[in-house]
Amino acid sequence: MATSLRAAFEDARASGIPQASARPSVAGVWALGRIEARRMLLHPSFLIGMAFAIFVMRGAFGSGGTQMDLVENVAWVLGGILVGVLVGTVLTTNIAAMRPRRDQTQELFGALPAPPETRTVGVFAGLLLGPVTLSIVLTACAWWAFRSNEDIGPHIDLFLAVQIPLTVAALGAIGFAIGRWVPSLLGGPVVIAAHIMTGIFWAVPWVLPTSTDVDRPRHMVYLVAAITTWVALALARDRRTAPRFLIAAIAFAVGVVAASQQLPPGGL
Amino acid sequence: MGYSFTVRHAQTRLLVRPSARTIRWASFVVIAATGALVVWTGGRKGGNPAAIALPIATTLLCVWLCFLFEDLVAETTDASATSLLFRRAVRAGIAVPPIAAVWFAYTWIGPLTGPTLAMIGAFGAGIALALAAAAVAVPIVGSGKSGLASTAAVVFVLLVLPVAIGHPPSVDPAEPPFGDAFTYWSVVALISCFVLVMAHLDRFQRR
Repeated sequence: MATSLRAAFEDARASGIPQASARPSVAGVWALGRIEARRMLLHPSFLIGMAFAIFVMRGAFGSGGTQMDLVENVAWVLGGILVGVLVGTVLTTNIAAMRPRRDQTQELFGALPAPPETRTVGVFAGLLLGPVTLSIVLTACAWWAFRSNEDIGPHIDLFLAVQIPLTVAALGAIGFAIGRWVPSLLGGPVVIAAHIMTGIFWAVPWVLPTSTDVDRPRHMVYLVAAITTWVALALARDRRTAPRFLIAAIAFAVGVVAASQQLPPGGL
Repeated sequence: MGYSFTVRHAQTRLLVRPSARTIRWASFVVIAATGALVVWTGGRKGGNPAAIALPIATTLLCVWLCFLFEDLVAETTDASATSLLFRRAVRAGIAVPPIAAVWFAYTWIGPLTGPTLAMIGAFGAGIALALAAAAVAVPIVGSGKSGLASTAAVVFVLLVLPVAIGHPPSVDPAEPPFGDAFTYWSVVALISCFVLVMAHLDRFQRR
């Protein structure tokens, strides 16, 4: 019995395809990242998400009989685009995660002389080159547009500006990781609805101004921990190794601790 | 007439099982649970879930319906002796009752005491809109992408439009952007039903 079991294990090991030990090459990740960035930014879900957010922001804050000048109008349009980037990033990264499956190119990617993580890292590179870079540009524009606003201007500082690209990265990581583990197109809309209406994907608000007296270093740790958690989970889909789950668990624990300690006494 | 009814009855019986098997029930369970959580969260701390949370949950259910006609086996069943309208009617007949049951359950979560006429009208119009959008999207963008395209249409009509042009901006079914609730949701439902029927005409399908 023991001998036959040992023989079965040895046969399985001998006939199994050895796992790639190489790491994703920089050139491959860069090439995939450029392609994915273009596809993410031009995907209809991203563009429609942005358009819807502009409509909603314009309707919620710009209508109702209020008189606004051109600068205020432009400022609210910029604000709408920024919210749209957040929403659209979840949708477009979720779809990017399922693109090989939907286009039936998984076998093609599997035949490439590169480890399976290459595509995952490539999509994250695309996330950084595409939506995150766009959010940095938009944040700079919004900073300039809102600085003269009496209500919002005093709340704008570097701490607030840094949170927006980090939030885009975190939401993109969530969308991608969910898409990797739950390959359904309904994942993106469900994540957005659950995110906005229940808050089950966040412990505290992603973006907080300094005036809330939030502990700024801990809030940054929280954002980085959230990104790390979801990236590690996405990578664990490629190869279910213990270190990846461990990193995700540690980052999750750090994020929870940072979230619980960053709020001022009495809450926000 | 009697012979035709017997044939249709037999076809329906044969279509129910394969149609039910190809509907995305796992997604339905996730969406139903998320919607319940949304309504429950909206009713906490004295909030009124009918104003925002229930419309969001209703839209989620309608989004699931948008994917109903994304049938992976449609290419196989296209060659069968049943019409597209009939096959889709069977699919809708299977999918809509569970959605209605879940939606009515939502209206009893939190401080809600049951559905109002405006809520029911908005829900019915949402179902018709989702089915119409899905039926139109399949021949235009293809079966693999029709779900997302029709989702955009449903979200636009049910959530974005009322906020963008409403005075005041609101997604509450009782406060539609134009006219009174009965007229608005009736018009949306009628237009959707008309589009749904038109989308199944041969002329549209052959484009």
